[in-house]
Amino acid sequence: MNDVVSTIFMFFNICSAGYVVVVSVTYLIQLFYAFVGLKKYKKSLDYSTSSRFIESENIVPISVLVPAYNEEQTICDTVKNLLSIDYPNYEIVVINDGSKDETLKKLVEEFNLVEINEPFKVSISTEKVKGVYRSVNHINLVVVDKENGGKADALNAGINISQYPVFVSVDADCVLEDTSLLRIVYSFMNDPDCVAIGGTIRINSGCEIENGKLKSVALTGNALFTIQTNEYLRDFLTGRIALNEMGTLLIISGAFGAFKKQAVIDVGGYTPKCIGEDIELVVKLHKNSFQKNLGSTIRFMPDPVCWTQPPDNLKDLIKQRKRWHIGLADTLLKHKDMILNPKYKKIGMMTLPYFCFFDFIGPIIEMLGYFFIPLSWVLGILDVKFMLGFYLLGLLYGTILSVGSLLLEENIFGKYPKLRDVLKLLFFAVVDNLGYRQIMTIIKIGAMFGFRKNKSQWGSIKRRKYGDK
Amino acid sequence: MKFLIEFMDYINIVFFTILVVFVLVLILFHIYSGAKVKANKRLEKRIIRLLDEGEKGESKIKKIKKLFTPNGIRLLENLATNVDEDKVESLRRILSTEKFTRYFRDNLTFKNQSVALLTTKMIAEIKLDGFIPEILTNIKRWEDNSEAQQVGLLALCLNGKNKALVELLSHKDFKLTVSFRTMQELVESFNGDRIPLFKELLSRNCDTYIYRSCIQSIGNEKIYELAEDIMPFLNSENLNLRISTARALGELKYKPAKDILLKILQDSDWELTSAIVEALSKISPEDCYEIILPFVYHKEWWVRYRTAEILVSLQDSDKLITDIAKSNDKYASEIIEYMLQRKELMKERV
Repeated sequence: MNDVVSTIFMFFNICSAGYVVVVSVTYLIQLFYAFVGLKKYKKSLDYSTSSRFIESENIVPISVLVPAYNEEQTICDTVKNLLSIDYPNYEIVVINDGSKDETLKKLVEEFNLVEINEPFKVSISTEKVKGVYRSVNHINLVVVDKENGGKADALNAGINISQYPVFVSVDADCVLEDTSLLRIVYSFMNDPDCVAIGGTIRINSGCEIENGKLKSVALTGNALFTIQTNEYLRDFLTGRIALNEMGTLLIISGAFGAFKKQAVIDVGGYTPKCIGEDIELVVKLHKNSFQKNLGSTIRFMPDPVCWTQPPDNLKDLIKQRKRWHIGLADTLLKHKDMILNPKYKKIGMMTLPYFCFFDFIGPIIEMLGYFFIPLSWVLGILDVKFMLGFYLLGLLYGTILSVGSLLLEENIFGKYPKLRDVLKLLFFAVVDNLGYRQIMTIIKIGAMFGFRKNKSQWGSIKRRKYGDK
Repeated sequence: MKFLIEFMDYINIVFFTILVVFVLVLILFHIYSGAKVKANKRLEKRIIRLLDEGEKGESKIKKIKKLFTPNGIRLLENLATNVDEDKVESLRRILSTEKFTRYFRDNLTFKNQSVALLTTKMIAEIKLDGFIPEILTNIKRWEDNSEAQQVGLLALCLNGKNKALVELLSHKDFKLTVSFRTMQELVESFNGDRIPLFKELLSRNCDTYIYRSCIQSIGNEKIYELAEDIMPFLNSENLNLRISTARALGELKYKPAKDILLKILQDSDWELTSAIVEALSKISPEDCYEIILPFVYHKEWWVRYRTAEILVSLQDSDKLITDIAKSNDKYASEIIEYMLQRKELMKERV
């Protein structure tokens, strides 16, 4: 009996240790690819002529879609920010998705909106549009008031009413840098096959934002914000760039991404009632491209930056992460026919299995390790050296990845000018692995169990006005 | 088990070493970058000060060794876009001296692609003369690289090199890799007399994007004397070229085009229809109402939309509402109603 138990325990222990080694090596490879990709990108900035288009009529005109649900705290600042962006020809389409708070009222008052009987082409069917408002003061601002249907439905309504060939989706709690739109759209101009481009999201807590404009970048003293800052740097400057470099990008964040409108309409728009509408759309675009042999490209740009407001408490953070994970699970399930299907080349053979392994099987194996390894030591099955080695390895690889991302940030962008801030990020790169990462793993596992129940809810978290500490 | 422990120890030692190296590099890099930014700003200020000092200052600038580095080129390019034209002229004089010319030529000829392109961009922004052969060679050398082509063409355009551009763009082996909008921007940045450039390019065998860029610029800049030259493109096999030509003729208000446009209007693609409706409204606003009114009932949404927009700007609202009401077309009524509402809103805005 004892032998059987100890064999089972050892099996789980070796699986967990093996998983941590595989993860470490995979992430180190990603870090290397990200370094190569960013180096290339930095060089291209030297001779990029994008700035010539700041006042040019020759840049692609775009529609900026801002879906809003109960966003009364931030919506006006977000719109003010978007109105002040350096871009020659664009419209802002705010879609009020049946908010229960005063989102619409605030917009009407702040921007002097007038209801107008605007007919529009319904390319994608959506919940009923109750009214369309245009601003007396700002010719390029339009607000759509519709019945609640979820973020995907709101974005589809925005696509219907938008009039330009490229749209950029921006979350209602985000602030864009002055040249973000120009940089993200400029890529479309140089790649006719490109159907979607994702931009980088960063945490705006601690940054000085005045009238919806980003004045300076800094960190707050709040540990949760700083840990999330590291997390975003890791995800965007390592994960996404590496996947982009390998031609296998699967996620374009809903908070900031640019799309060719016709390509999105061709795949039926965002899938309604889909919680991970952003990732699902990208998968659909890939699928359509392979099925129709279109040769479309989907890219990620590290430089156009969108600064977002993170959840400020653990409860909201858990809610947000659960939603992300459910969104990923929902997408993978919806498109399970693509997984390990050679027809979909690298996406089917590499990226989708990668997400299945590291985001679904991975957390379970990791958790089993956290449980079985100390238990094995207590039961005398395992040497203490093995247990310490396992934990140290987990700590080291997580920290290397965070510090590596910080190094890339510093080398290419240097957005944090104060040494104090860099040291703070460095400190939390270590702390991040002593509890926070484990909590995130538990959330991922928890999300899988609540998947069916939660898979079509708007992910609203408590918003703060800009300037609130 | 022993093997596993040893293996894990080994990996941990490797990872720990990597981590220590990363941390040290990060801190050193932060300090170094901060110092570099400050040094660049100081140097930029110094150059601006020296440019104000006249000849004495100019000779001092020539001796600044840091300018003979890629970082120096970046700084020069940045300066060119941030100082007034007098200072750029002084800079141009300094950078045209032998030592700088030799350095730039070396960069264009022997250095790697990024340094060569960086130098080309700086040459474009400062409008330095004398590097055309090297730039043309590089465009051919990196013929599949759209960024290389774009920067090279920008240098030719900003320097107003009419002959070199015509020769290059109409060469049988030349393959245009930049997008249409980029080409359009390049054409518009041409620093010189555009009429001979457009005339020459339109008469030669070039890429469709080049024709379209020229035609669009002719329309935008109202170069009436080239209207006759663009007329043949209304019969092109390329739809986008026909659309651009119709639009340009509209912008030029070129009356002789009216009959041909009307003829094409009979059996055209919806995008072309929309462009012709717009062109006709500009060419003869006084008598086009009856011609374009039927297009507000067109099956394609965008044609209806654009036609309604034009009709509202042409006709008084009462007659328009009466005419549309006669048709019993719900969609046309809706769109006209919206356009009139929008017109009122625009008045309020004024």
